[in-house]
Amino acid sequence: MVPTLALSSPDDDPNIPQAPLPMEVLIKSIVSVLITGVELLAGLVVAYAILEAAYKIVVLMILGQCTPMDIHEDIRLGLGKWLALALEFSLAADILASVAAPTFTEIGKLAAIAAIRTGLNYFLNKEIQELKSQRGATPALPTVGDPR
Amino acid sequence: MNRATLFLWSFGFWELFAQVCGAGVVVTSVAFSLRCLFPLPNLEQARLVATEGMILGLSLMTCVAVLKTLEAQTFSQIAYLACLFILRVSLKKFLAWEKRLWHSESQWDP
Repeated sequence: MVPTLALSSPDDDPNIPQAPLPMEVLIKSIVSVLITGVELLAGLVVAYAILEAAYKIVVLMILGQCTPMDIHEDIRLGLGKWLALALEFSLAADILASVAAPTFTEIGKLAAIAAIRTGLNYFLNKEIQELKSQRGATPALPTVGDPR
Repeated sequence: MNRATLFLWSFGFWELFAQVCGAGVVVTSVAFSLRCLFPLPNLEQARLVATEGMILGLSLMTCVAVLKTLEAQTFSQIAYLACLFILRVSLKKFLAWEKRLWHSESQWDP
């Protein structure tokens, strides 16, 4: 059977039990743990991005090296890059989740979430690209530990 | 023939095997992408590594969806596989497009 991966061919021996094999159950449990791990990583990346952005705001405001608008652009670029990475990790978790999605409802939910994340990723990429091209035209701003 | 031997000869085993390989590739790529964040974060490189792994993992998982169609007997199963196939292929197309964008545009040079 497709959804449960159980052996159910009509040619099978009727004495053979039809329950899912322990190995399948084990693999699905392992995949669930991996999904949690990857989603946790995505969450950590977002948390780090927020902390880094907050740190940059505080330091640049204290130093008074640039205007609030310049800070805004610079920090948005850094934050956008980290968020794009977190979205990649979330997409990886969605891909893993498709291994252990036995029903239509779960596949539907997964597709909706993946579509949202893919859309977010696309628009974030566009925004980063625009900000980068804007920054290429203007002199570089002072930054605090700006990632590439 | 015992049940374990039957399982080895069924499509189910190879489907499961390919699914696990695909999942393993995705998780490994995420782990490798984390390496790009230390000691200095190179975010574009990290994203590229993760994307490449996901494309490979999705390719393996798409193979599984194709393999499963051999066993599909009802409309419900076929519709389920079609949904899974569309989801995986769409994600793969998007990731491949993203990767091409990085390679083609100099401002996206990782």
